[in-house]
Amino acid sequence: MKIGEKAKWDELLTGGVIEDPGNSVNYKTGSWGIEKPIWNKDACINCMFCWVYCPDSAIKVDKDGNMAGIDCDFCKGCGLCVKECPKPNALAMVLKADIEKKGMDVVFKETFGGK
Amino acid sequence: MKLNVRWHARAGQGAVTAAHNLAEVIAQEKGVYARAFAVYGAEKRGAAVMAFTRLSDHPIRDHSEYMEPDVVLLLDPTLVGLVNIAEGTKKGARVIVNTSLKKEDLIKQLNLKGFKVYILDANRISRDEIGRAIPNVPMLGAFFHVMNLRDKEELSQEMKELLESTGKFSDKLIQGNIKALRKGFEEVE
Amino acid sequence: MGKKVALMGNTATAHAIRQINPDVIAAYPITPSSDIPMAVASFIADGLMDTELVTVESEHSAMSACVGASAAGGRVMTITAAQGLALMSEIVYIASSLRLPIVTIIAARALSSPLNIHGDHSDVMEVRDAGWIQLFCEDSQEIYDSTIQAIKISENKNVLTPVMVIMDGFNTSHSVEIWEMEEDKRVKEFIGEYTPKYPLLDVSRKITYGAWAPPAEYSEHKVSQLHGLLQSPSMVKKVGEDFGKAFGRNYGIFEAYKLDDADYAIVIMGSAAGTAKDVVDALRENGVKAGLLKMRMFRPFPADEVKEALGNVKVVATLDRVISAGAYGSPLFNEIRSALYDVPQRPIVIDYIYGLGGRDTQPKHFKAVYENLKKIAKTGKVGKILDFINIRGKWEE
Repeated sequence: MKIGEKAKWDELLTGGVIEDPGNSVNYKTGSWGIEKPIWNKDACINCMFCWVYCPDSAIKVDKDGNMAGIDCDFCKGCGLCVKECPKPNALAMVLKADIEKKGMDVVFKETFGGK
Repeated sequence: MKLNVRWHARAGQGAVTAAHNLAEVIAQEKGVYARAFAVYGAEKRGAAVMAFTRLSDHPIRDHSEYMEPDVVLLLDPTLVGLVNIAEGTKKGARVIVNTSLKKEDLIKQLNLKGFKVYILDANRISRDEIGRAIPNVPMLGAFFHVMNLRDKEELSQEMKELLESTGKFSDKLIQGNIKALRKGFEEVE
Repeated sequence: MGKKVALMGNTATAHAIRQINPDVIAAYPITPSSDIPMAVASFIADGLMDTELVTVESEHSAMSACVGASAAGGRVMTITAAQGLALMSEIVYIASSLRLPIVTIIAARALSSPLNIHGDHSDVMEVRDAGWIQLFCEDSQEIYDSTIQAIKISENKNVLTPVMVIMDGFNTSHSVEIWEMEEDKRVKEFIGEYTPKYPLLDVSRKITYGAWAPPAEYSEHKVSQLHGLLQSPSMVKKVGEDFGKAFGRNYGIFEAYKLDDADYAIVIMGSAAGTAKDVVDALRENGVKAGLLKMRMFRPFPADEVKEALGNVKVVATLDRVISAGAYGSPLFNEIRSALYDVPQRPIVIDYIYGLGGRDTQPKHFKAVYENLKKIAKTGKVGKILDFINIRGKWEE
């Protein structure tokens, strides 16, 4: 059964069990938000609070355990990472429409200043 | 055969166990059925209790507590006046009483006219043989004699096997109980 | 032929469980069923069983542990009564929805308040719509036999539904009766090995149990569950017949006792059915066409068979051991009367409530019920639809 396809009652497995566990990775929630977080690598201290608090495991981590960006396939734009981030200017919420209109570079500069 | 037996006792005298034992012994016989049960209340040791044994040569389906007894076993005579031991009894029912009184005195004292009365000093027997006044086993011996349902040797053997099968009692205790059973059988009058 | 034994209903059940030797039992003791987990613990200590007995801190935990163990792929049983069943009821629904074949023994007992530990069907009726199969038993033999059969019924691939095997607290659980115990080996052969359909512990085939179902999904899951439950009557019949072939005692979904030509019938479940059968025999000797329908399988309710069994009776009394507070009649009454609605010459049906909290119901009480049925048939006047047996004071609707 594919996501979005609706099963008839006699097509369900006994007891409602699901044979492909972990199938929520197929369910992309990245389109949900009006806002999304952007990340300023230079200001980030890799405390990983964002990773702890993110309800969708949408904080990417590199092989050394450091913050590696935001997974836009799954980020719903809830803003928890920004609220919990202890460092000013490391994470911020911006309007997706602004990025579309002005481009990422401009929005980044407007938000974090500097380069 | 159809025989209704009611036990009146105080909690701790072993009446419920004896009612069960009677069913267990009698059921060894082929084609004989039994049912034993008790009325469970909030009783503590010393409170009045009632237990019942039904015996029949037909399967017993009646699950009610109502009974018209052929035999009443009274393990503590002081219960008379507190409970109606005559309730529902059939005409000429047998009453077996645990007492140290003489039969005439007991009949007068408890107003047991109209019953076939048998007496046994089961407290003394159980104190002598088991070391405690738990009169259930001697009374069981008396019952089998009065009703002429088993001879003494048969009964002793069946009871011994039953007690052993529970795995709960020491050899010494089993021997004491069998002696108490035999004395009950012999001394009932 | 089995071995003739004289043991209490609770002990009979404990021996059936010993012979089944399930993988896991999670239980919390409660009167009048406590003897069973106690006996099971002794059997394990004596090396007669190797069941994992989980001594949990409540009945809610007991059923929760059973759900986990059953989903893991084990053969699982538990034992409870009264408040214990009420406390576990949240998980009772989950066990049936996940289609886990957990066999639960219940020594049916009244629910508080007032506090009462005696026989009554209030506890099992509270969960009658939880999606379990419910088998009511009359005596020690039937509870022993049904416990063994329940394993086969619930584990059937098309059924996969938990079963409650129900005896009356004290009336059966605490009375010594004569019954036949079968050989361990033959019981094990009869129930066979259990192959779970979706064991969580099979890591080669990963699955998820108990996922979320939003409004767009939930209805289909409940229909699928109901379909499973409704596969059980044919299995209850088949396993009952197979049991008869193996051990000489046949079982069906109910017992129609002298019903063929009966004008007056009592419908009843549990231990009191035995007492009532004695009354039927006595009435028959006096030429009264009395009969009795002893329901064994109350859930799922076998409406078609009931129609056939009672369709030609003139007047029926349903005897319930529970008050379905505020309902138009008690559970048996509702089912029976509803099933008979479609019968062309449908019988008159009236409702009696008896035996609450262990109240003794005696042959004379059943006799009075049949007297009333006779009177109704003769005069055509029904009078009270609902009445109580053996209570002090007059009941006016």
